[in-house]
Amino acid sequence: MTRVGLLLSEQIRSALPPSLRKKSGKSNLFGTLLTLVLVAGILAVFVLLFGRFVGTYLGVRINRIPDVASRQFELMSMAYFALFVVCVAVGVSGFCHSLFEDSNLTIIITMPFSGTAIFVAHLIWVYLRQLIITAFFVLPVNFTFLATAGIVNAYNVLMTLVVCLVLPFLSLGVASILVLPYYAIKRRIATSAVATALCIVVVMGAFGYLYSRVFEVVCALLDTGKITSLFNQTTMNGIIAFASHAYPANFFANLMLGRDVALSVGVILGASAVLFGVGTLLVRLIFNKVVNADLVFAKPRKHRVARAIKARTPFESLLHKEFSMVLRNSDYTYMYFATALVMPLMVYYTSRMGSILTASLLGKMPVGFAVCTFVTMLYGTLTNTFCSTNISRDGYMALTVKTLPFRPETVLGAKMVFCFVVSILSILASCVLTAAFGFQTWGEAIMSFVACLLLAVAQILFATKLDLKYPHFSNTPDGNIKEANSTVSVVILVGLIASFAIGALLLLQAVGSTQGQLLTVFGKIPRAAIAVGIPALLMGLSSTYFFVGLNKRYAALNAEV
Amino acid sequence: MDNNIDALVINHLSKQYNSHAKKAVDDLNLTCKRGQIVGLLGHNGAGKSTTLKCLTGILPYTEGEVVINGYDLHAEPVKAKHTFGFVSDRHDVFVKMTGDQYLAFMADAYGVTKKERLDKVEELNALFGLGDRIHDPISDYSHGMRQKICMMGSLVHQPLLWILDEPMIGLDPATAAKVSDYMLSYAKAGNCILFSSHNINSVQRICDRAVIIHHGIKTDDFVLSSFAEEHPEEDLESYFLSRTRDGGAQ
Repeated sequence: MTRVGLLLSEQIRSALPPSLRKKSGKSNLFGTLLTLVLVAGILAVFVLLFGRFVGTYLGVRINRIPDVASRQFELMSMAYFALFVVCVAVGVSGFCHSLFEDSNLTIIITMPFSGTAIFVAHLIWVYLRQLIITAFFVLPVNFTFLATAGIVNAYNVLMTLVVCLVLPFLSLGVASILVLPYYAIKRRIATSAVATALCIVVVMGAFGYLYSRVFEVVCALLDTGKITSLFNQTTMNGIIAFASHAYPANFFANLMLGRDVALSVGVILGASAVLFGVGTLLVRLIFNKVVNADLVFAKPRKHRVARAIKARTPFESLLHKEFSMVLRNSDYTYMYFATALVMPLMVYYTSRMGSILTASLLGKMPVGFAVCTFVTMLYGTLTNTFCSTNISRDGYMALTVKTLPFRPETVLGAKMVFCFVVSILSILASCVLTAAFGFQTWGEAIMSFVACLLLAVAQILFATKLDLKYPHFSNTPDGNIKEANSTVSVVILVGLIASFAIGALLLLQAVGSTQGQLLTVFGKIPRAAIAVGIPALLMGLSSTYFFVGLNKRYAALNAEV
Repeated sequence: MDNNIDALVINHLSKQYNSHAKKAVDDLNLTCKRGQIVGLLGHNGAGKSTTLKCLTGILPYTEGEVVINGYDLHAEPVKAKHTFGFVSDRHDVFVKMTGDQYLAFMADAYGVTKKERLDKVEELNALFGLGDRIHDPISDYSHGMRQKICMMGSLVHQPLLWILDEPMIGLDPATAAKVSDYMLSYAKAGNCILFSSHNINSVQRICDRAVIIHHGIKTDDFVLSSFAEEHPEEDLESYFLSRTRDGGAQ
């Protein structure tokens, strides 16, 4: 194996998740399978929705005149613009990791490899990674579009492959120009808890806005069966203007549609060659500076005034520790807040979709409470997954805490309260929103809140004990847990099953209370018994699971990695 | 606390990581009295760290009994843990806290009053010399500074038993000398110190007693002041090497 090949194989090995790195076969098969199923599910939903969107958009008429060719170009331009932005972001993240965050680099530069070999291996790895991610996004978008538009042919298939190969060069060229300013800003933000929190709020706000736009479209689609009304004259003028100026996406669109092929090929290849060439030089310069430790991002140290050391109870102190550890870690802050912040919005839109869907399927049935409770439980389950790493997150710190005079209940209680804080707030906001917008009554919202809270407590207790029994400690340089493990998968699965079961029973109860026949038996069950009774029962079971053998399990915890 | 109670009593302590593995610690008996400094010597993998982890509650032990300052570690873990301070060989923990926040956390853990902790932190900062850097995040500290803050945290409640795993590694010579002197005065004040080390010179200089562990078994336990009389032909290093001739980790 050549020197570059040796370095490249090491890069690939260290980039693989631990479950795939092990040769013993004792890998996390369940977690991997569940991830594959989830990805396949998401892809299927995307293909279905995007296919319907393509079909609808191609039918949009301006001044009642259909123009399928123009619509195809606009749609492809928009899709490729979005793909280009995503690929640049992925490229920036890839370069950032390879240049600044790869702890192996500090060891490799001391070994007998030339700087060029190390650089080339890193560059090839970044390109390969970019190629895989680009293909993952481009293939479903292209083939869904081509199949829906009815223009699948050998040329299009070939061009899809060409795009998969060329787009990484172009996006990496742009990414290489952005990586240094991005990293400098990232470092500055990461050193300030306030800046990190602000950044997360802004990102979540943007995501929230995007979600709301997508859900508006889906709701319109469900409500009226078509979304052509969304594309009025003003919107269409904006889209047409955007598509004609969306460089380089419009050239990719032309290439795919077989228009101005020579010009498109020339521009794409020329821009890719120039940008990738310039980018490679730039990255090489940054690489040389990193290797020679010439890049300094640290801000000058300010003299700090000593603060009074506040005395807290052991529980308060442990809770404060949890907040300090998570809020000063941008990865964990994002994980802690992301789903919790988005949850009320998701609950609102999904409840709206659910009410439209049930109205069209069942007519005027009192199913608002069932739908809202089910949806809140469902998203609550996803919000609470952060507690699945309550112990694993701590790594060796968990052992240090074991040497301190804390009772296991106090240590774990602080962790659970920490998780419960965001859980209770997001459930509360979700219930208030659904009641305020009339998807359920205020009385029902209170019952829904209690039910979701009980289920959240059950989930947090279960997840924490499960993580205590089977901790998965990180072996990354920063010690952060970055990928889902079997505990996370099990907690999500159990939460989803419980949410679906309670949701289905509530729906049957609501329908059964107004209709006869087979469902009457469900109608006779008081809905509080289902909504509150089952979560209370689950909480009881979780509490038993949590407390039985707790001290023994805590004593046996060993965080050696 | 009754001054006649031994700081540490270990009876027939054994630790086996799994039922098929060889015992990492095998039938260890050891008593450490107040005012003593006891050094644990052994090769890599001899069982020193495992012993310390069993004593501090990190690892459950398979057999035996550990009594710390009169409290059985198994039966009364919280009470026992109140009476000792531990410095691990890993200092890359609590890195997101600032030095003073870490000390506050440790003081809260041991229930140290606000007045006591302020005085103690001032005294320890003077000894370890972190200065204004005590207000910086631990992630910005060097290896040696992290070790210092861990030592400070373990002393914030003035423990009766101070347990340290390889305490001298990573310290600059001046701080190592200061720490050695502090250990001597700390033991003189009636406290007990137990530490593991590879550094035979530091054990010889500071300790009253040295215990050699080899393949999980205590092979020697002797008072250092009488070592020269009992072994006039050998120094401690050559004696240690002769007692552990078949090497370390297996």
